[in-house]
Amino acid sequence: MKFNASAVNQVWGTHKTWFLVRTPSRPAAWQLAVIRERLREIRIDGEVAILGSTPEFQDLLSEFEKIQIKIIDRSTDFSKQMGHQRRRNDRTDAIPSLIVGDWTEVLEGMPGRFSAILSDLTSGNIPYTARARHYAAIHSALRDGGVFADRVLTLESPLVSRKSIYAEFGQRPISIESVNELNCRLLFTSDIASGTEELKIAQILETARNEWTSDIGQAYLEALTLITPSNGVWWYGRSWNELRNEHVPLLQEIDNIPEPIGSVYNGFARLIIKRRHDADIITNSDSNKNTVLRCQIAALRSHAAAVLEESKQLIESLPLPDGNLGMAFLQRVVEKAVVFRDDCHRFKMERIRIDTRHWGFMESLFEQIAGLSGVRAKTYAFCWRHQRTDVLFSSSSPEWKSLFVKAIELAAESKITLRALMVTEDEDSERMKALERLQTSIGQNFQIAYIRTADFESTMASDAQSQYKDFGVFGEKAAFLTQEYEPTVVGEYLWAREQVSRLHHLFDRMWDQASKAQKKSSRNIRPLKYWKKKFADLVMVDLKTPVSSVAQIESHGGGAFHLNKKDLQKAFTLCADISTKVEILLRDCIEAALIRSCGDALGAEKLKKFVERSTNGNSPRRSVNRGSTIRECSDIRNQLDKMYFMQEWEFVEKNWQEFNPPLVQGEMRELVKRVNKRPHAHANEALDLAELVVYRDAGRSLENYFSKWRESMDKIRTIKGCP
Amino acid sequence: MAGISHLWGVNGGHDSADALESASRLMQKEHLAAFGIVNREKLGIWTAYFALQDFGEIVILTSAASAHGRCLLPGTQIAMCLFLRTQSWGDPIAGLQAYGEVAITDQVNSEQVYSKRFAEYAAWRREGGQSNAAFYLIRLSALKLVDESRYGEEKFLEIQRIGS
Repeated sequence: MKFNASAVNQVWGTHKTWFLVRTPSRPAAWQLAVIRERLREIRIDGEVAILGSTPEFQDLLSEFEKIQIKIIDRSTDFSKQMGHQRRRNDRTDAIPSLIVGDWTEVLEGMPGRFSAILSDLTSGNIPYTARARHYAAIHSALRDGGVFADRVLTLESPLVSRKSIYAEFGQRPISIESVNELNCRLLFTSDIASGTEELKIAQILETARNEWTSDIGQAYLEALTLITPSNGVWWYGRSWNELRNEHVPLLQEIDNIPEPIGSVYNGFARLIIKRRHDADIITNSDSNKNTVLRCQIAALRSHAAAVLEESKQLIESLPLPDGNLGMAFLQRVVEKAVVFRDDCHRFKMERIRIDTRHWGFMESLFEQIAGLSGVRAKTYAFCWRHQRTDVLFSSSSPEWKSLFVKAIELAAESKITLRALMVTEDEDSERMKALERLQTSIGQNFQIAYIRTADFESTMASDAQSQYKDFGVFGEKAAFLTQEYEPTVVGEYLWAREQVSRLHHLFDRMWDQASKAQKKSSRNIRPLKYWKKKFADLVMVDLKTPVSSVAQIESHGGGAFHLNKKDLQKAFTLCADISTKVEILLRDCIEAALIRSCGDALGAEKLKKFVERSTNGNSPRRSVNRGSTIRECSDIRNQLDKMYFMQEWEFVEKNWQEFNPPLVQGEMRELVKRVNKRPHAHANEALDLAELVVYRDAGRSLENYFSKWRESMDKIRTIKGCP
Repeated sequence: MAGISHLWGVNGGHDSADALESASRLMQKEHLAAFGIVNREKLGIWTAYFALQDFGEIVILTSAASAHGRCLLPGTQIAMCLFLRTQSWGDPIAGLQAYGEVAITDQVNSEQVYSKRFAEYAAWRREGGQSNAAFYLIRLSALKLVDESRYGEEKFLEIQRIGS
């Protein structure tokens, strides 16, 4: 099908009243929040495309830096109008550029270009016969790791009689809101066009005008053309069950959120976010540049094995099926929530317990320190316990090493001053000498002093800090107290000025009694990169190490593995499997938890009947992990919709006789409240809760490993000129 | 008023900015007016409190189920009569007649405008209000203004919308 610009302009270019269009015909706040979170998660950069000129998406993307926004629209006039609907101004470095043309054709010409493609209800513009090609173009236009966010009309619920819609709206005053609602309900949720797959708006309006002849009916239908162009055509009519497998099948689904209760598209639309994950990376094992890859495969495999093991244990520890409805899971979530809440509480008290996951935080602290003035304000002073047998950085804590590297880089640029108080019995060891040589290369901004362990501990005890292993002070802004290093780094941040100052004095006291490392003669001064290269144990290969330095490290005796392409693919598959399983498990758990919550409201007996009725006739969604028959809460929501006439949230005084004993109004109200709690963010809630469960964290870190690994491989590919 | 005076024309060589200012002052001072419609030879008249969205755009709240409410479809011609309730016989008179049509209303925006003028509205709505009350936006196209203290006895100014 060839793109015909003038025909398109006739429909959309003349549609001048888009400013009257409201949600759900435009993206809603909940939808933007979900997409925003995903885009942040994958850290979009480079080019991002919007199908159509949706102003809300333009506003959303203008929040992100380092991206180029490409609007793909078939009508220049319409796109200009959309620009006027925006609420945010663009930064001068991120003005969206317009590509005029057919979405499919444009995307086909831009393979692997976009880190994200956003679309809102665009699929209805594409004939069913052209969709496979369109979705293939989307897949090819995304780069690996890129996401496609698409809200689609799904036709999952039964169509309602248009006569009932006429009757209802005949009693309602005409307003922008009511016209918008009528537009969605009459065109897409009523039987007015049932049986057809090509909705010609002019024909539908004609039918409606002949049927709905009252003054108000005619006025409503006249107003309807302000929302939907009367000469428009919409491909709609196939159920989602028929279409779901055709919707960009090569992408991996990461979100699938039904339109919430309260929206007129409830049961008729979904927000679907999918991600491109390629498992077909081509690599060459013959180059030592692949060292990064080898290390990362090893890291990935061990991490994946650990996650899998942990997932298995968790799965076994969750007695979800057999009518238990996830009580154990709930308890776990509650426990985690309590811990999290306590942490938050402490955060407000200017103190928070942290672990390895929070290390990114520290780097931003450095940046803050570097931006401050004054010697003391720019000093990072820290104690460092060191045994003769220790390497400087354990391979189990690459974050600590990366923090140190970040610190010495800033010191080398004279942005901060480092003061390392080495707590050791062994200041003459090779490793200490290595550190001193590094100090020499950096100069005045890196100072080292040594203190005996006994002296250190007695001074700590004299200041009532003996429960901590050691500490660091970031300028005058913050301090960190370490509680343990193994198996993971755990400690506390402090922001209270008095406490930070007290630790400053403590550090100064120890620093004064410590012996200072002597400066070496100038002939030993080498650039930083020399030391990175020279001391492989100081700058170990990890996920952040640039490819270029790895080859040098290897030439100085770094480890060697044999790259096996099959292993690589296996690791990939393993990763994807775990990720999917974790995701599904989590969602099941959340659903189970919500159902359990309904059980608290109704009692087990009534809930059982209600769930049976809700799922009657539906095929049960089975948990991939355990074959359980946990039902989706949406089943309950749908059943509530069927049973309950929730016009403007007014509850009809009535008992529900179908059940014995009958459900009373209070119970129904409670049930609605629970399954409808935060309706806009049902999936968000899952994700929020996910932060609190171990396996979700594991899944996240796996994804992080995964994407970093992939970045490195991309670099290798570039170096090697692989296709 | 100077910013929008080019959108309105006034008869008798009067300054349109001045006339609009006078009309606007009246509408600020008085918030109750009478409204009338003719719909398929049916007459309707009622009074309503009103708020100003912009000059020439009036928001009223009234029952959608009432006889007149059912006639308030977009495009319906409507007349409005406003006078200061504090006037005594013999004093210089002040008031206006206005003509326009019902426009498609943005309920959310109208509610904001209305509750800004009538602070008690929010509490009334919170307590349940009247379930079938709805906002209507009336877009005026012409006004007939009398303000004797400003323009002299029995001077009627005709103000027409000439642009949008």
